[in-house]
Amino acid sequence: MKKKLLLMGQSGAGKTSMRAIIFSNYGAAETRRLGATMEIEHSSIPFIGDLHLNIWDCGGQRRFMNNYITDQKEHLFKDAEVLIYVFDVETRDQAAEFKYYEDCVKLLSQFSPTAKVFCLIHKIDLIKQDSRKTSSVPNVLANYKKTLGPLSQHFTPVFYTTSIWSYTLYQAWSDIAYKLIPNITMIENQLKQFRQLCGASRVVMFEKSTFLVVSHTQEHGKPNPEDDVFVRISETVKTYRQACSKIRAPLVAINIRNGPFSMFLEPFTETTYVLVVMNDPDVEAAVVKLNISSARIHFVNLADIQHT
Amino acid sequence: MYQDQPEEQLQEENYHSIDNDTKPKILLMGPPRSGKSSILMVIFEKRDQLETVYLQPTTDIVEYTMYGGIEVYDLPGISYEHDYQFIDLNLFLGENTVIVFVIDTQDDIQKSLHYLYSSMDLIFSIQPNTQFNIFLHKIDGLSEELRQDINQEIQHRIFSHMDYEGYDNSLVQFYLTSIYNKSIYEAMSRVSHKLVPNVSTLENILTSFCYKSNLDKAYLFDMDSKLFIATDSFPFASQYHQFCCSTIGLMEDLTTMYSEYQLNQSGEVFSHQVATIHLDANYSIFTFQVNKRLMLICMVRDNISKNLSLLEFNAKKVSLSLKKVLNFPDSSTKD
Repeated sequence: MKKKLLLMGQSGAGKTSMRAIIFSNYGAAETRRLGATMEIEHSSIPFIGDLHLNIWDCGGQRRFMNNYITDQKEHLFKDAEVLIYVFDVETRDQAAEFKYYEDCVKLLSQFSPTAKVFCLIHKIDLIKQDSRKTSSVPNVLANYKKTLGPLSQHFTPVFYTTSIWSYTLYQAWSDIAYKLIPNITMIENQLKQFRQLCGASRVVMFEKSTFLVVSHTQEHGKPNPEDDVFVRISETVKTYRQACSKIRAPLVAINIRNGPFSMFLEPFTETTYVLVVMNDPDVEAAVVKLNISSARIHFVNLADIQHT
Repeated sequence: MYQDQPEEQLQEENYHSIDNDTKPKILLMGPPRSGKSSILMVIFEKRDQLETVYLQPTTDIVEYTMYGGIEVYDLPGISYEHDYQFIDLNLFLGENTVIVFVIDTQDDIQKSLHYLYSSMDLIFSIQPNTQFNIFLHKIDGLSEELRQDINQEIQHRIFSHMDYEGYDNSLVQFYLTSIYNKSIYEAMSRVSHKLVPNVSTLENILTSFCYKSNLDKAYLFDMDSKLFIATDSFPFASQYHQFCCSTIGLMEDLTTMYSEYQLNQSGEVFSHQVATIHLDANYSIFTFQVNKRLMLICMVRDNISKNLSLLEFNAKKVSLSLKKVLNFPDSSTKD
């Protein structure tokens, strides 16, 4: 199943940078090497199960933008599942930005009315924190919401404030990915059951190549993980994978044991990894591994059932 | 020149004075903006490399402590050599002092060399057997060919100068370094090996561990600074060293995730950590925590899942003997 995902916004807003960070393992600092995107760059990325993300990275120069909303409008906006519109908080011409957004959403509602709209307020690291808090992040977000709400036709856009220099970008994309997975509630329930069956205190399912969090579940009464815990894991594992590729030995699995505590990061289905955190000294490592491999078969079938 | 300093000032110095003459020390010297402070900040403060771009020149002596109580001093780089008289080098130069001299390979090398020569004159006049470790730094910006050329040229020039002055050539050693890769960790580790007591015993223990347990390579790492204290005597491959550095980073990040979590329950800090990492191509990494600061990292070219408990047992024995040999005076020996 392919999902068409439009990535739009003014030139220099950071569309290609975020695509490179999330999908091509770029570091935040490496993105300054990226040049401007000409016309539209297509990339197809296999995601959870049989879901493929067809990303249309639309170059944001005015010339291209005008093309998008005139000649190419049908080609571009037809059958789109998702529109991700990136707003640059440092933009010089905000009025034009809002105008283009309005045009795009109008066309989207015409050609694919069931699409989802996400607005990323990007580069929030550049918002200066002053003492009067007039330009704090929540304020900026509220301003954008107020202006963009009426422009959004019948869509109810979801807003995120993001920056490539913090975990916010990863979180926003995790959230977007989560909303795209068709049988997510089923996966979530099954994962919860799996956690209970093997007595783990926490189970997290990651997408394999991007390491975005697909779903996570934990014991009742346990503190919720901090926001950036998963992004830290994801980033660490991603950089470690790069280190592994340097010695030509791709990473397969990690297992850390420490007193009563143990964690297992194992490949799960073809497109996912699973992290199992145990807090029970009586459970042998081999048992957990056995559990994971038996659950693997079940979860692979789960994707198939949905498909047929 | 240092004798010119008035006696009173000597006593007022709050730096460690003559009584710890034999204390192991590393002095970082070099011309201004050669990257001395950046090196130490990356290693000991875990700063991001890009952050160090904005560093201001160091004006005061900065001290760091390494494993085994090795003291590391960052001496301010001063534009001309005579200013070293304001820092009383006599206080720093003991029997167990090694110099790290940083040369910026992307800068005017002639100037740096003059700086080096005058520092050498000064230091050899105080402590004739001081070892110089010369870091040919910021090597990342140069092409492979240029690196070799510069390396050769600098070595040649320094050696001919030393011959001319009648210094012992064997006191100087060269390292190609950059903070943008792990070469700086390797070089610093090598330097510190000169100061770690019983380093050859540690090496022997690790070598026999490798033989007995069928390991490819075993390192004893200091977790905080990512420097390795000892490794076995098999050929050293810097790419595997780099990989081990990454492994430590991974361990650190993954354990911070659950250390807080565990604290919430029992209030206990984690103790002995054992980890196995499976890589493709039948490669595995096995890590074993020796104490709070030290960690054994082994590379195995074999499927270790079969005899993991045996390996763990061996590692436990090895870590016991390592602890005995090291017998660090500071808190690092406490479990």
